Amino acid sequence: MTAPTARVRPLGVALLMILYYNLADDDRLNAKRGVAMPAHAITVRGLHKDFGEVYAVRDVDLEIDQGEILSLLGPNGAGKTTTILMIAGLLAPTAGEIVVDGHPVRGEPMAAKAALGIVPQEVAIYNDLTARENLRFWGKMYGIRGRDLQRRVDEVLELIALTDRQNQRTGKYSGGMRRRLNIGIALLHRPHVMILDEPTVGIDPQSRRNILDGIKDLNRQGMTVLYTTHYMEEAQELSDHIAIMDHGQIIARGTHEELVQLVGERDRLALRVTEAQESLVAAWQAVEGVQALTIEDGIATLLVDDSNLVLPRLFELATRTGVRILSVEIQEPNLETVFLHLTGRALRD
Amino acid sequence: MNRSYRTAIDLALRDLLRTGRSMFAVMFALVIPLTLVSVMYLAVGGLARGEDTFPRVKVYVVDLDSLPAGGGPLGTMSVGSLVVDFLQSEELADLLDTAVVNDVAVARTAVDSGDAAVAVILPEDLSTALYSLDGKATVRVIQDPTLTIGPGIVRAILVQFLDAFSGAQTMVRVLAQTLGGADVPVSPETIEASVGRYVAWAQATGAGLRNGESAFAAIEPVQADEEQNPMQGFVTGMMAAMLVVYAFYTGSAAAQSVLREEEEGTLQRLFMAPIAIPTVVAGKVLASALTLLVQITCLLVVSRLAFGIAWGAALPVALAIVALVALAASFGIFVMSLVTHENQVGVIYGAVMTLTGLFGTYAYFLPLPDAFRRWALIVPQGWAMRSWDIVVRGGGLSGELLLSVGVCVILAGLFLVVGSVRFSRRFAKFAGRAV
Repeated sequence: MTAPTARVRPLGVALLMILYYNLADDDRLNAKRGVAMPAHAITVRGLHKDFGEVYAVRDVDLEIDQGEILSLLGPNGAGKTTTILMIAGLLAPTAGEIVVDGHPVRGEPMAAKAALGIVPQEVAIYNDLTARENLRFWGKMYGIRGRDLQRRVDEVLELIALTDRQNQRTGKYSGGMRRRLNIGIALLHRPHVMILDEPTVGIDPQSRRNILDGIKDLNRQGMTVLYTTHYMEEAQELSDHIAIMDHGQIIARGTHEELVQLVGERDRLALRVTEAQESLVAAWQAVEGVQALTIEDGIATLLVDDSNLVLPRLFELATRTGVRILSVEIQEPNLETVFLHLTGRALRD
Repeated sequence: MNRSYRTAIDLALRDLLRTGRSMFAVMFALVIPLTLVSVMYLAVGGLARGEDTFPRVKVYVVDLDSLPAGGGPLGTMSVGSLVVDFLQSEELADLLDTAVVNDVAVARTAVDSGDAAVAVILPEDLSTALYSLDGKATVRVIQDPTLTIGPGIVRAILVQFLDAFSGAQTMVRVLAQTLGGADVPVSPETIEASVGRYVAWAQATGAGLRNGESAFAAIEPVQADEEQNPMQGFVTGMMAAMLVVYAFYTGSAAAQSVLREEEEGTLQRLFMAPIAIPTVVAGKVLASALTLLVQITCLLVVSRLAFGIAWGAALPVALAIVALVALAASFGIFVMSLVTHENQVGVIYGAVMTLTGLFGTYAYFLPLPDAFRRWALIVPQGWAMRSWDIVVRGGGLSGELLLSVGVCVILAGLFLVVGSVRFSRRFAKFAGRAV
């Protein structure tokens, strides 16, 4: 199914101009009416969410400026989706305050929801309806009707490259097509802020590329994006700012460069070994200059102060325990390194 | 129109569209109830309407009769030929399929082989016996010993027909005795003329009798009213019961869409849009009501056309529809609000809806004492069925109907309130409200 996705970019870029025109038109109208756009598209202060004895989100503060892309990066179970659900008004926080586009989610939930376009992690569309019927229905749920609805449905169908298949029931769509429709539904009402909850999970590389390019295009037209992912490459590529989340807390926030600087001059080593013996892991962890160590799939990832000093010692210990080192890679610090530095664990753990 | 109302209507129309596209829903809502009633109709209902329901009796007639020398009072017509003409007449065409053969052995073989139900052998001396005042002929009827109704009908028809000739014979005998006693000679011409006039009178009187008219009194014709037709009444009761039972299934199925949407993730997405919980609940209730309205209308129209069921006057029927729609929709919402996972739905259909459905309706199509109908009112289906029973019995806008519809509406209100509150609590977890 490469043909539809291959068409997305040129079609998408052309039609995003229409979308931009419409968004800009809204903003012009707001300016005329004297409605000032708030500086922050989303403001979160002191957000807590407990499920009984278990806390899912703890003391989260977050500000997302108008027109920026912020990625919430963290492993599965870090609290990203819970945070998103609270921002979307779908989950009541235990404590804290959330303001979306100037509307407090608790006080003005409908206005806050109207400002948001949310792409849920799991595809949520009606399989027994066609793409056009899905879009028409969801458009009505956001109060779009008549000719405006007709126009928006046509625009979004073009944008997600489903015009040719618009009258086919979505139950027969491929995974990538369903994902695109899932995103298209969130765009129908021209939201100021878009929230995408791990939209690339479980899809092919071409569809993923397509979605990431689409998000960048939307952002270029002025849309604010909150993007959650556990893929550091996506966060690195897309984001103006990245917030790293772990165990329900935001443990670091900044641009990619700012976050990498947290690691300092440390090196990240990736050693492929024949066997991950516990005694070797313990010995390596005890080596002076080793800050963090994880082993997964026969690859030991270490954060070290100076690879030149540490590497000979690592080889020596491996030889003593009878483990062979098959390859060594010294990597530039990246978000993975940052996460390792901050938590002592790999991002995938 | 208020945006919430429009949203609720959009939600309902979306559900209606999805239901229409579900083969399972269409089967359950329309095909199965109509099929069940069709089976019952074919078994007993057609007989009630009297349309080609009784197989024609195959009759072989062997006419050996011949006119006595010089002819008879009916000219060249022998009594045997008159009998044959009568058995082959249009009047009896619905009952008898009469064929004439010349050989007694052929007729007998036909009965033995099952090709004919009855063979009638008209003897050679049938006409002669009539004209001689003291003569007596014997008509033989050979029948398949395993059959009773068909040969019985043929015998009855023969007796009625020949009785007219017996009457003529008696009349002539009385005439001869009376005139002989008065020393008035009775000529053969007089006898022939008298017999001819009597037979003509007897045939005219016989036709009148068949239409329920005798010389001194008329029998009122049987009304075509279905109430007086127990078989048609059974089919109507059965159809009403199917209407009620399957409407309740549909009410539950429509409410089940909440569970399905919850598992599909679309319910959560609905609450991502600026839609209030009551709007979603109202949309679901409206969807259920619309689906039921379509189903009930289809079943009423199709059953009217296919089975000739007269549902009654428009206003009582409309009230019964309102009662059924309200009760089935709200009961569905209530029952499904108790369910937490779609896996439990099988129990709801298999146990709750089937048992309550049967309990509430069976007393209306089975010959049971009235007490069973009172017990049926324990379940909501019983009240809905009671309303329809009143309507199909021609009860009109009676107090009885209004009471029944009123109870249905009150019950519907209770189910709706409880179900809506439970669903609203359930939706609150998606809508960000503290539960």
